[in-house]
Amino acid sequence: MERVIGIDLGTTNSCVSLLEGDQPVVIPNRGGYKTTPSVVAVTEAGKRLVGHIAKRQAITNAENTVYAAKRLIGRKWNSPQVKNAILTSSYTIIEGPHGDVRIKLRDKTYSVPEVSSMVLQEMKIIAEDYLGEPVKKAVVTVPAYFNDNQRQATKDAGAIAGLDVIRIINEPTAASLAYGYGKDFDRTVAVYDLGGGTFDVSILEIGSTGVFKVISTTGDTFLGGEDFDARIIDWLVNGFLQEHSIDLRQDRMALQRLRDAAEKAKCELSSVRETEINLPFIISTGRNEALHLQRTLTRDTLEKLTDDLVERTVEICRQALEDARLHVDEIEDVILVGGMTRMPAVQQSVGEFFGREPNKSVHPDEVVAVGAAIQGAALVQDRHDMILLDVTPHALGIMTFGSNFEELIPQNTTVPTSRTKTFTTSRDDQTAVKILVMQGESKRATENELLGEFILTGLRRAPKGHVEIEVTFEINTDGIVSVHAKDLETGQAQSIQVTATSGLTQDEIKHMMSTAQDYLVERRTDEQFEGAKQEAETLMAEIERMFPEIERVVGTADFGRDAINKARSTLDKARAAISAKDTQAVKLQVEQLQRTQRMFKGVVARG
Amino acid sequence: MSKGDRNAPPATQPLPDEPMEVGWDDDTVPSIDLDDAAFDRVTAIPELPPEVMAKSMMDSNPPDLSSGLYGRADPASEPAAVSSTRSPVPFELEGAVLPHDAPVRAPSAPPLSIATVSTAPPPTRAAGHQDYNAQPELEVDESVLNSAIAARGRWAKPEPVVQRRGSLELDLSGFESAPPRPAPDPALRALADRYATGDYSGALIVAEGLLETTPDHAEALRYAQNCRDVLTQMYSARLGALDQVVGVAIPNDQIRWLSLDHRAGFLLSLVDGTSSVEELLDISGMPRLDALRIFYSLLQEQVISLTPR
Repeated sequence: MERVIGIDLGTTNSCVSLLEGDQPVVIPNRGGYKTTPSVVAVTEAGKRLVGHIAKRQAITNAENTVYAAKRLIGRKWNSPQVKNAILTSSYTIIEGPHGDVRIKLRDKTYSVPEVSSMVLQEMKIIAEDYLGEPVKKAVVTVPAYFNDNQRQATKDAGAIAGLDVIRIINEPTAASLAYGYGKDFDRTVAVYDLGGGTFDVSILEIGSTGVFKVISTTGDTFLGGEDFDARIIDWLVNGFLQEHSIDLRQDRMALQRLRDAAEKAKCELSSVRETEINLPFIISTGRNEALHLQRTLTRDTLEKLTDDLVERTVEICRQALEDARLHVDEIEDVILVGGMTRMPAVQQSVGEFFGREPNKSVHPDEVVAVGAAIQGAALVQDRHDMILLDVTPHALGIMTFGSNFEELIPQNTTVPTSRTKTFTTSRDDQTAVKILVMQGESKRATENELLGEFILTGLRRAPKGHVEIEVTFEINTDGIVSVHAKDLETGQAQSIQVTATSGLTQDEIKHMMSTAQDYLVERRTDEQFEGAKQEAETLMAEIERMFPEIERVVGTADFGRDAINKARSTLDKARAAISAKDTQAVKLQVEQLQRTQRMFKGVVARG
Repeated sequence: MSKGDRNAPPATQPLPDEPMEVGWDDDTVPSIDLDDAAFDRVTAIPELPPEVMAKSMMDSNPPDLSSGLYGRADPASEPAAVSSTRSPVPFELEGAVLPHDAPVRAPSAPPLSIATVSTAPPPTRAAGHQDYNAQPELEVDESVLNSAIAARGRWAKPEPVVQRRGSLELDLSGFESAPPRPAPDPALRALADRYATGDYSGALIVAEGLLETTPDHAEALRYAQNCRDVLTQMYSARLGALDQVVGVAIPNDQIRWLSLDHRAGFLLSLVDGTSSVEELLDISGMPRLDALRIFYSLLQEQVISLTPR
C-alpha cells in the first residue's frame, strides 16, 4: 500500500508522521529528535545546512540563515507582512520577477517555496530513512488563516521537494483529528497553539460526519517560544552587563551560546524548579582573559519575566470566543498544541481562562503531524468516515458600491459548491460593470484579498438599479474558483477562472524540482561514499594492526612475503579509491579488504 | 678620465658639479696608433647608459642560483614536489606530540626547500641589448637608448655616438647619474624568508600585517592565501579524518579551569558528542583555519577526543 506521510511544516519546527497499521508513528531524525528546526542556511563553503545544524549557527551566520520562511510564503512583495519581515529579518529579502518574494543566500537567490521545499525535503528524507523505501505522497498542514495563494505556495514547495501534496489541511483541524481519532463524538473545542514563533487559537466544531468546522481563528504571528527565550537572554545579558560592563549582545558567538542556553533552560524549567546556566569563556576581555557566565534561573523568575506574554495569549483567546460568538462555557475541550504549552504557567492560565483542565492526551509537538498522517492514510485507504470534508478557508465574494464586500460563499463551506446572487447597476446609464473577486472576512473589500477581476460590458442604458446582473460563484473539488456574471435581460455574459498562484511559473517550479532532485542524488551518493569509506577505513585499521603479528608468523617465508605485499597493495588501492571519492571503487576494495582481513585472522589464529 | 691618462680606469659618470671630459683628442695622446687592432674594442666609456649596460651584463651572466642569498621563493610559482619522507615540521608544531593513532600524512602542498626554490625572475633583457664582449656595432641601437631614456624619464636624449676614424666624440651633457634602486621592503623580505623556510604561521602573520596597511598588496595576498592553504591541510592531517565525532574529554566542572579564550570556549560549546569535526567546522562561524587550530590545540590538551564514526 502506498505510504502517505503527514508533515507539520511549522514556522520554527517541523514534524513528520505516518500511520503504521492503525497507530500513528512520529519519525525521529538522525539526531533522535522528533521535531526538526525549519531553518535553512548556506555556509561560506557553499554547503547547505537544514535543521538542527542550521539552527546552531543561525546567529554566527545570520545573513545566510533563513528562519520563519512560513511568514513569507505565498505573500506578495508589497504586503505589510513582507515589509515588516524586511525590517526584522537578518537575511536579505528582495522582490521577485512576479511581484513575489525572493531570498538571497550567499550569491544565489531562492523563492520562498524553494526554501520551504528544503525543509520538506529533509522531512521526506527522514521518512525514507525510517521506511527504507521512497516516499512520494504527503499531507501538509498550514495555519487556518492561510489564503489560497499561501496554500498553493505550500503545495508548490512540496512539489519542488519531490512530494505530491494530496491535501492541504488546517493545523487546528489536524490537531482536532488527532485528538478525536478513534472517538466518535460531536464537540466544540478550542485549539490553543503556542509554537516557536507564532500563536494561534481556533474554535472548531468536530462532527462525527467528518466535518471539522473552523468557526473562528485568530492569533499573533509574532508571539511564540522565541519571545520567551528572548526574555531569558535579556535577563542574562543585563546581569552580565552590571557585573562586568560588557554587553554580550555585541558578540555573535556569545549571543549564539546565550540563545541555545536560554532555550535549554526554558525547557528544563517545565519539569524542574530551577536550573543552572553555565557558559564558561563566554567573552574575552581586552586584557587577554576570558570571562565566565554562571547563573541560576528559577521557574518563578521565568514566570515573572514572561507573564505579559502569557497574558497576551489569554486576550487573544477572548477575541477568538467573541469572533465565534460563543461563551467560554460552550467550549467542551481545550487542545494544547506546540512545545510552549508544556510551560506550567501557560497550562495554568489556559485552564483558568477556559475553566477546565486542558487536554494533555495528545503530544503537543506531534499532534498536528499525527493528524495530517491520519488524514493521509484515510485518503489512500479511501476511508470516508475519517476523511475531512474540504472547506473554503475564507469567505468569497465581490466588491460592491462603496468598497463594500458582498459575501457569496461563506467561510468553511464544504466543496464543491455553487452560489448565485443578483446585483444591479449603481449609476444611471451604466453600460459596464467591473467584477472584483475577493476572499476574506472583512466587510471592507480593501481589507480582503483580491483574487481576480473582469468586466461585463454591453449593458442596457437604464437608470441605476434597473439592470439585473446575476453573479455565480463555483468552487470545484480541486478548489478552483470560477465566477460567472450575466446580464439577465440581454444574456450578455462574462466569466473568470481564479487559480491560486504562489508567484512561481510552471517552468520555474520544474527547474527547482530538477535542482532539488540533483541535490538529493548528490546527498545520497555522498552518504553511500561515506558509508563505504568508513567500512574500508575500519578494515584497513584492523589489517594494519595485524601486520606485526603476520610479519612475525609468516614474514620469513616467500609465500608470507607475497601475501604481505599483496595486502599492502590492497591497502594502497583502497586509499587511492577513497582519495578519488569513487564509491564503486571503494566498495570493490572493501571486498578485497574483507578477504585480506579473513586471511590475516586465520594466520594469526594458527600462529 | 683625464686627458693623456690612458692607463686610468674607465671614467665613471662624472658628478654633476665636476667638469666633464668631452673629448679625446689624438693630439693629447701621442704615439697611439688607432689603426692598431688592439684598439678595435670599445674601451673606457660605454656606449650605453650605465644601468642599461649593467642590465645587459647581467643578462649575459646570470647569477648563481644555488646561492642561499638568492634563495627566495616566488609564491606565484608552483612548489616543487617533495617526497613524503621529507615533509618538515613547521615551527609551530615542532616538538608537538601527535595523537598516537593519528595517521601522519604529508600535506599535499609541502613547503619549499631552498634547493628547489626558484629565484626571482632575472631582469628581462632590453630589446636589442648588446653583448658587451662582442664586437660593438658602430652605430648605437636607438631603441636601447630610447627605452633607457623612457625608463629614466629625465634623461635628455643623447646624440648618437659617431665614431670617426681617429676620433671619438661623445656628448654626455644630457646624462645624469642613475638613482639607486629602492631597497627591498623589509617586511616583504621577512615574509618571503619565513615562507621559504617553512614557517607558514609566521609568514601568515607578516602577510596579514602587511595587508592591514595595504589591503590590496598583491604579493601579501598571494602569500597569505598560500599559507592558509598549507596550514589548513597540515592541521587537517594532524586531526585525521574530519568525519570523526568530537566529544568532550573532561568533566564539565573542570572546563572553566582551563586556559582558553572565548573562541575556544565557543567551539567547545558546540561539541555535543554527536557532531563530527567537519560539521562543527561548518557551524563554527570562524575561518576554517582558525577553527582547525583551536580543535588541534584542544585535542593536544586532551580537552576533546575524536572517535571514528
